[in-house]
Order: sequence, then C-alpha cells, then structure tokens
Amino acid sequence: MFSVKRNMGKYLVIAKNSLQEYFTYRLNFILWRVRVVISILISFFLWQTIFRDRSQVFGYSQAQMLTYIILLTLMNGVVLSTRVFRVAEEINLGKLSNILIRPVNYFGYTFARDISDKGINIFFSVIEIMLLVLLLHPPLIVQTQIFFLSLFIFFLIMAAILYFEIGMILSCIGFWSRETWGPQFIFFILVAFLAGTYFPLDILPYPVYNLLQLLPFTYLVYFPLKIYLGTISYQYILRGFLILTFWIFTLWWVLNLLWRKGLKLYTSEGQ
Amino acid sequence: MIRYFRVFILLSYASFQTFLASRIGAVLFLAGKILRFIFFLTFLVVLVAKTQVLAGYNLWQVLLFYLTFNFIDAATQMLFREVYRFRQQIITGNFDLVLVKPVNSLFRALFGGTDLLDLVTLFPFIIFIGIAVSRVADITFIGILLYCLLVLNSLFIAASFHIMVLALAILTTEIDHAVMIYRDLSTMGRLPVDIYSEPLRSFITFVIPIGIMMAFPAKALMGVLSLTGIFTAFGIGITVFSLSLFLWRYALRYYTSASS
Repeated sequence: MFSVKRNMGKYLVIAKNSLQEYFTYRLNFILWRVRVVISILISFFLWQTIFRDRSQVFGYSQAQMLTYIILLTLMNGVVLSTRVFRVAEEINLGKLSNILIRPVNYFGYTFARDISDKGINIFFSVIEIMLLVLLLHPPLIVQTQIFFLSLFIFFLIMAAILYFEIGMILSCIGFWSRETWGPQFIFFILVAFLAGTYFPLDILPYPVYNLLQLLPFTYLVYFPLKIYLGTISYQYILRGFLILTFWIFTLWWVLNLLWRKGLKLYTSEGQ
Repeated sequence: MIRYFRVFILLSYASFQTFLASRIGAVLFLAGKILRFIFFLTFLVVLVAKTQVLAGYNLWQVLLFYLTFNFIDAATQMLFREVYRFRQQIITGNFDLVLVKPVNSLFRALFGGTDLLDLVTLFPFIIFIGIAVSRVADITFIGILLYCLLVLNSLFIAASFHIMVLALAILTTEIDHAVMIYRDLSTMGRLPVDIYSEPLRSFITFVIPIGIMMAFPAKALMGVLSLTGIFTAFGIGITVFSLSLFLWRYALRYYTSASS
C-alpha cells in the first residue's frame, strides 16, 4: 500500500513540475489557446451560416451541430492536448537517457506530463466554452441522461489513451530517423479531418463513413461527441467499443514492441 | 534590381539544398499540405453540393474563394519562409552577419529561405483557379485584371505582416506564435468572409485585414465588389506596407546584437 502511494507520488511530482513549465511560458500557452478558439470560431460561423435558412442539414439540427462544434474545444483539451510528441525530440537529442536512469517508468513519466497538460487545457477550455456561449448565444444541447454522460466520459478517457499510444508510436520513429516532424505533420492533418474536428464524420458519403469507422481516428473526437449528443444506437455504441478496444490493445502491443526494439538501437547521441 | 534578383536566386538555391539534406521530411511535409488541401476541398464539395449555396455563393464561387486563399497562402509561405527562422538569428546575434553584408537586411530576412518546394503546389492552384473561373458566370476582362491586381495587393499585405513580425522579433524576441496567429487568422479567409457575423466580419476585413487579402480578389472577379471596395483594398495595402517599413526601421534601431 505504502509502495503504491509512493509510486503515485513520484508521478504526481512529475505532473506538478510539468504544470509549472506552463507558468514559465505563459504567453506560449495563451497564444496556443487563442489558436484553438480561432479554429472553433471558423467552424461555428460556417455552420451558423448554413443553418440560417434551414432547420436540418445532414440529419443534424442547428443545436446538435453547434453543440458538436463548441464541444470540440473540450475535446481538444481532453484528448488532443498532449506533450507526447516531445518524446521524438528527446530520443533524437539523447535527452531520453536522463529519464531512463531515473527510477520511473518512462510511459508513466510521459503520461504524468500529459495529465498536467490535459488538466490545464481542460480548465481553459471550460472557460472558453462559457465565454463562447455567453458571447454567441448558440442553441445548445445539454445532455441530462446519466447513461449518455457516463458513457461520454468513459469514451473520452479511452480516446485519450488511444491518442497517447498513437503519439508514442509516432515518436518511436525517432529511434530510427531524425526526420520525425514529417510523419507527425501528416498525422496531425489526418486527425484534423478523419477524427471529426472540422465536421461530424457522418456527413460524408456512406461508403467513406463506413470505412472510417474501422480506423482509430473516428474514436478520438467524433464518437464520444455522438454519444454526448445521444443520437446513437446501443448497437452502434457496442460496435464502437469493440473496435476501440481492439485498437487500444493492438497499438499497445505495437508500442511495446517498437519501444523494446528502439531502445536496443538507442545510443544517447547528442549527450 | 537585377543584382537583387541574382541574390534571390542564389539564396533560394542554397535553401533548396538544405531541403535536399532532409528529403523525406520535406516530401512528407509537402504531402501533408496537399492532403490538407484535398480534405478541405472534399468537405466543401460535400457541404455545398448538399446546401446548394453558402452565404449566397454557389459551389464554384465558394471553390474560387478557397483556391484563391490557397494560392495566396502557398505563395506567402514559399516566399517568406526565412521569417520563421529569424528569431534564432536575433537571440544568437547572428543577425550581425546579415547587417554587415552589402545586401538590404530586410530583403535578406524576408527572402533568405524561399521554399522552392512550394512551387509544386502553386502551379496546380493556378490551373484549378482557371477551371473555377471558367465555371463562374459573368466573368469580364476587367474582372480578371482586377483579380490579378488584388492578388498582388494581397501578397503585399502578407509581406507587410511578415515585416511586422520581423520587427517584433527584434523588439521582443518572441515571434513564433505571432506568425502562427497570423496564419490561423488568415485561415478565416479560406471561406467567403460573408459567413461571419458583424462586428467580426468588419474586423477581419478592415482591421486585420484578412478579408481584403483573401476575399476581395474573388469578389472583384465575380463583379460583386464596389469601386469603393477596390480603392479601399489598395489604400489599405499601401498603408499597411508603409507602416510595416516604418516599424522595421524603428525596430532596427533597437537591435542590440545580444549573445554575439
């Protein structure tokens, strides 16, 4: 019991230290949040214009669509805000050695940094949502059913784990190449569109949408938000859960394999 | 003028060689940009095909706005890539080496790292714009001429923004996010500015002025831009450019050559 508490304490300290970094680079963080809000505003006004002279588009009401767009701010905080992509740089510059020699699990160390990152982003995203609602007065859907709210939170956590795994796998490229930014850039583009951060994926033609449901991206943003809206069948939720679980276990296995192989090649170059 | 053109070619060639040193990264970066263009294009087609109009514009007109934005954005990124590296020169004091050379320091800071790889995307954009223009009704020769002049005006405004960012780098040594904020704000122009409500629309048209940069050329081509709008666009272009040159000269006086 004491050991578990002590172990948790270590990661808590890591999370705290990581949080303090944000207060050192305040301007950077504020400008990052401004960028998130700009992106949400573009989508918001686009959809608001579309709904100006119609009540339904692609099966969505104005309230459903604008709720989806506004909640993207929260999704950015919970799922997509991460510092895991720094791992590639740490490998390339040999900084990884400084952490490997410490009595911490590296994945736990990175996850603890991510938790602080997500915590501060969630805090600001909630404030931003409140400001957006106050300023824009959009018609919104407030989910009141405990069942959908619980599932929404559950799938948010699953999505955050999935994103962490994908980020770590991409960072592992650093063991084999210095050019890690290119694959990461492509990945960000894929996430931006295939995860549903611009629009709900079910507005796409059915065959494309069907194919996307088999990919992990769908479960990062679109799927949890559909659950929040409550416009999803139990059968579809179960199917989504199975696919998501499959991806989490498969990617965990791939990540461990790559990490083990990568560490064998790692030479701490640059230190 | 010819001397500067030669210097520009020389610097661009050197910049291209650095890209060749990291070929895979450069190709993936380019592929990412193309992918982003295709994804958003698909979204627009799916969306406007369903709704028929967006803020009063039909599909081809919306695509013309989007393609014009992409052309200006790609040309700007291609030409002013060095701006993204300028902060490093300031905080290390390496900008001294630029100042002592017999070349205009602003020219060097703006055009020192032209990304020729972006040319790959520029030519297809011109072809796509040509296709979109041919599908938009009531196009006149005057409209096409105004379109070209206003795109040129947009590039001047974009250059002005980048000059201001350079000046800020000297004054504050913080520009990384300033450039990114400019780029994010400019993405508001990839759709017709008419979708935004007031006062945001006026703000991004006249204050920032993303609307003038990205939307006015397409509007002039479609014949929906008033004469006042055209003169305002050129007036703002000249004002912003003059202001940026003034700011640059002002900032240069505060360069301290720190760390050198």
